[in-house]
Amino acid sequence: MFASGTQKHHWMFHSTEEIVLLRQEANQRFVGDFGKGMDEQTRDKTFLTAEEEKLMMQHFEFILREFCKKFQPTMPKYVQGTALTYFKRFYIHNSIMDYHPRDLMLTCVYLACKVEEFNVSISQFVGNLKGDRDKFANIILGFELLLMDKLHYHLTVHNPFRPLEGFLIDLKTRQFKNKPDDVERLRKNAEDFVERSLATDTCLIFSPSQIALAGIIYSAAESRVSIDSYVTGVLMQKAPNEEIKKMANQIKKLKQMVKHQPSLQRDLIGPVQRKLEACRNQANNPESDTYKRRLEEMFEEEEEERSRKRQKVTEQEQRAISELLGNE
Amino acid sequence: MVMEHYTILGRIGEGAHGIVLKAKHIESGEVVALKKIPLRKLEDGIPNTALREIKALQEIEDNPYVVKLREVFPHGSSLVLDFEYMPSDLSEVIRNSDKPLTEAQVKSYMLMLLKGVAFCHENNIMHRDLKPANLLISSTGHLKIADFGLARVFQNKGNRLYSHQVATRWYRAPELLYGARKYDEGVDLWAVGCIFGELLNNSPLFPGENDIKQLCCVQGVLGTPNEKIWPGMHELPDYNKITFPEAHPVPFEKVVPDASLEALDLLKKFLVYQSKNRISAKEALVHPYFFTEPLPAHHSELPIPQRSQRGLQRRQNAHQYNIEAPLDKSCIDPELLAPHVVKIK
Repeated sequence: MFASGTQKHHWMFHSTEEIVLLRQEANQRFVGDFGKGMDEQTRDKTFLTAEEEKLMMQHFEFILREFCKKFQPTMPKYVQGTALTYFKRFYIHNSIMDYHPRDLMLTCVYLACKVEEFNVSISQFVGNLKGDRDKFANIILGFELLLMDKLHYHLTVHNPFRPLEGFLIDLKTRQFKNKPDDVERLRKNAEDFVERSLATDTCLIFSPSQIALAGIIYSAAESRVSIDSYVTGVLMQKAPNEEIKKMANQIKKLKQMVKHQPSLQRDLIGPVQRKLEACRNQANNPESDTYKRRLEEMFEEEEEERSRKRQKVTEQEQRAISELLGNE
Repeated sequence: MVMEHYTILGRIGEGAHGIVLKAKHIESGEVVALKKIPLRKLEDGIPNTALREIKALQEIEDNPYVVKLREVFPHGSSLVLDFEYMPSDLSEVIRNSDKPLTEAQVKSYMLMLLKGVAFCHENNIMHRDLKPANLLISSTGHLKIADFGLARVFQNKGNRLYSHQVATRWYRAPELLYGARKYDEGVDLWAVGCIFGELLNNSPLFPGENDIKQLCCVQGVLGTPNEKIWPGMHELPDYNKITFPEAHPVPFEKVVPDASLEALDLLKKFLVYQSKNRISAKEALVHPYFFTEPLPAHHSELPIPQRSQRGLQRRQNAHQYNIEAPLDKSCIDPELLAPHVVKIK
């Protein structure tokens, strides 16, 4: 349930400004750590600004959406929605210079497939990618646990698709009893609206049912169907005036965010991406020697721990035997 | 949260994807069960069962009848789930109790089980693998539902297909045995009925040796189903694959001979062919069974068997004090301490 779940309690923010601020902090943390001893000018030249990070995020979100749309077998929309939500949540507290969005993007989609029970094996999954598929598989599996940890193991995502379906059914049964076709006319635009909302941060600010309702209201206005009596008379029945005003305000904000999205400045992507490759944290770069060494060390450590344990058990057993034989 | 925050006390058991350790959380002093899942050798990464368990348990609020997932954290390339520690489970209670459970005790277990199931269903979670071994018993005698590795968040739209290879055979609902891919929380209610029967009889109700015999067992008691009592049965995927000799229903009084009238009435309401007609957990909680003498036992009147832990015992023995040893061997010579003592004014 949304009302009692982790999405509402941990991943809803007050406003775009709050999210921007948190992302700025993540950016500054990284620059502070990796730019120690640099003067301000070198720092500016070396590292990405929070705005540049935002641009990279938008770019990779776009790729993520395209990847999901082309995925074989056809991927349900809620899998895409969940993957995008993971991606956005991850980069609230982490800088993209720390973890490359290309690596995390794939991991988000893979984890979303599993959580949403869209069952594809890792080989089937990377079969949708061009290039070195084994390498991709290793990257995804290497980051899966880290991603879950950074998401605080809050895996359930409520998407706006189901509430949208719910509103359409509710409209058919209550408002347009004998005219289901009128309701179906609202579907196309409402679905488009929800789809477009995925490109924004609305899923971090509004509840999924608010996004769905905004879609319905938007669509009704487009096709000149009045659903005012449904919204105020049925949905907001008995709600105090203040509540209704608050609701109207939320819907207005939502519509604004979805309809007036700044377009992606494609010409800037190339240079920013090159800058990112140079300044990213090499310890989290699967291609770097540092990363490979760290991974090996981790496995060696685990192996050592295991053999240490084995030895301890053998020693204990021997001691027990000698005790039993009365040697001590 | 990291592994260093715990002292490992021993090994509890081995699961499909890793080991379960008994440990003490140092800061809080609480004893916990750590499920450790090594990911390194898993081809597809984190197993679905672990994801489902985390997903289901993270989303629900604390409930006294559902085992608590305290924490999840990575340890090297392993995933660790920290659960509250439960010393036993219902299968051990049934197996180990020297004398059969009293009616009041059975009622108490059923009450706790139904409260847990009602809570899960209210939160749109079907467990899909209810059985005595998954119903853990706390040190205070409380029953808690565990092992959500097969749990699914269900949607009431009814168009999603689920796997029918769920639930341990003896507790598997007839629609699953016939290969149904669309089913609902009724599969849990069937399992509750089987557990109820097992508590009353002290032995499993439908102990089928394989899937075919399982259906045979069920039909041997409920009789051969027909389209009238079970509409839609002909459309189940495996329906035409198997036919059984015509069987007549056996009255439940004969199947569970020592049960009270109220117990029989409730049992009958769970063990119904058509899933939609099984009594819901919430309704069952107000069944007269729970309000007639003898009333459900207080949890302090319930048995708490200890798990057989050979490995653990050996370890404990190694640290045991030898009371026969001369006293001076365990005392410290004050002379040795003297140089390290700081004078206090």
